[in-house]
Amino acid sequence: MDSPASDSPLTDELRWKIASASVVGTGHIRSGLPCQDSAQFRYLPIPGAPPDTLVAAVADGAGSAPYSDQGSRLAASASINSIASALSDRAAAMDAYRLEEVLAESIRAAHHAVNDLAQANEHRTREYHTTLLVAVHVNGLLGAAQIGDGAVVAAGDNDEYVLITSPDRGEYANETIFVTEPRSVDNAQIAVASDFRAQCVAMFSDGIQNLVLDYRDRAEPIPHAPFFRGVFTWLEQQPDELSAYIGLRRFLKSPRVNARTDDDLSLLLARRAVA
Amino acid sequence: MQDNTIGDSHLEDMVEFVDNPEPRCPCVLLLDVSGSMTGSRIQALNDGIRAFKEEVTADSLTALRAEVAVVAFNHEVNVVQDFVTADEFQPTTLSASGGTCIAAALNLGLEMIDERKRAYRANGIAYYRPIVMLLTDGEPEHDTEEAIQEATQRVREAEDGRHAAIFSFGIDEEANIARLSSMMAPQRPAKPLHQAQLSGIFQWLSNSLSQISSSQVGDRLTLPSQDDYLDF
Repeated sequence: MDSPASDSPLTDELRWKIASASVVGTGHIRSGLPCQDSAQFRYLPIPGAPPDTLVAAVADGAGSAPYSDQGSRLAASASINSIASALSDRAAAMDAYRLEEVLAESIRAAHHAVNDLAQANEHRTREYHTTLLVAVHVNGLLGAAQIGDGAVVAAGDNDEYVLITSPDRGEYANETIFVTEPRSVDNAQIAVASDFRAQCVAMFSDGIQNLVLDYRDRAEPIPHAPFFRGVFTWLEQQPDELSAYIGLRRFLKSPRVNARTDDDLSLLLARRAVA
Repeated sequence: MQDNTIGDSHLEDMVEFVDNPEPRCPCVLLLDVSGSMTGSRIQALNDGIRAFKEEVTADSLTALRAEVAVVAFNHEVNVVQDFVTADEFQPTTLSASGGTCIAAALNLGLEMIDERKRAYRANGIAYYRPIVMLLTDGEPEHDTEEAIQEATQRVREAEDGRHAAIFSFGIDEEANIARLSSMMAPQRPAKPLHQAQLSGIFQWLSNSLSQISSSQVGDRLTLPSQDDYLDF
């Protein structure tokens, strides 16, 4: 994870306050599995990119895949690096169409990075299976790409929470799709919201999605506003990112959360910092 | 409860979670109530269903997630019980008479599953792969040739497309296993069963439903071996 604060030559008002944590689920502890989730971000410095550029990724390794912790870490970092290098050349010219290309390329980069790792270790790719969510905010565009479960939720100036990308399971509740599988780019959801000055962005893996997305009596879920309003109000109140990180980990390990899920949990929150 | 000043508030006290419906695992029982089942067989079947109700509700999660529907067939097919969650399932005592329409029962069972899935999707309810379990001591003697063809095709499409898993058992020597298997997908042929093994196969079904409905994304799910439940 890159340290956001030290390299910034820019004013505070343009920047993001970010809290990001992955914690091991109680079910994984019982089964002796490691945390297979990974949440990572980078927003500065990307040379040539506007100062409020945000790049973030969350990946959730498959429970049955023995090296999926490595798969999720690598998928997250490879996608972030791919986007950062694309933006450093082209950020100023970024439009919705180009951003979609950049997102597709980041999925491709993650797919190849994990497949190469599996090959180098003489393992099968499915032993590294992981989902992947990436989000980019640049030039008033909010883009996201996703393969598998989890979601990207954002609010613009009107404080209304919307799904940018949504859980993409297979037909069944115990299935999902992975970035490590063939045709990953074809299977990815890629969405770009134009003229979207994101104030809040949340990304999460499937461990928490059933607690924060409202599926009741509807075919497509909506973000559960009382959850997202609560977390972003809380994030605003945190004096710094270290407190936010500690508080977020505490939350993800709290009895209130663990009474509802025993899976690994990743939650990444980014809120435009108010000067 | 907020017991701290602002800035010190714990995140878990500041958020509200949504109570989504539990994911469901639908299961359709297709039960032969033709005349040949009269006597000890129908009694073993009724005992098996009652034991199944007990076992499937013993685990609180399975009780909320497994959904059971019962179709009884002889020369007619009857929905004895439309889908209910296991905790609400009330077994009725079945009695035996009449002929045997297996294909019509399969067609109805698969249609019920399609319809149930549509209802799940419309209501944002996640679901697991449905299970169909067919128990008969005969062969499709009163089905039309079209019904048999349709059932065979639907069963194979359902298995090949992973739309449902269809298990079929022929009870005692009277069951025509070869004829039954010819309607099934080649990868899941019918199995012979003695009436004394009916309780075991319901136990297997209950344990399978428990495993399925507690499985998570990315799990590699292997159902328990039926052979482990067929000792008697």
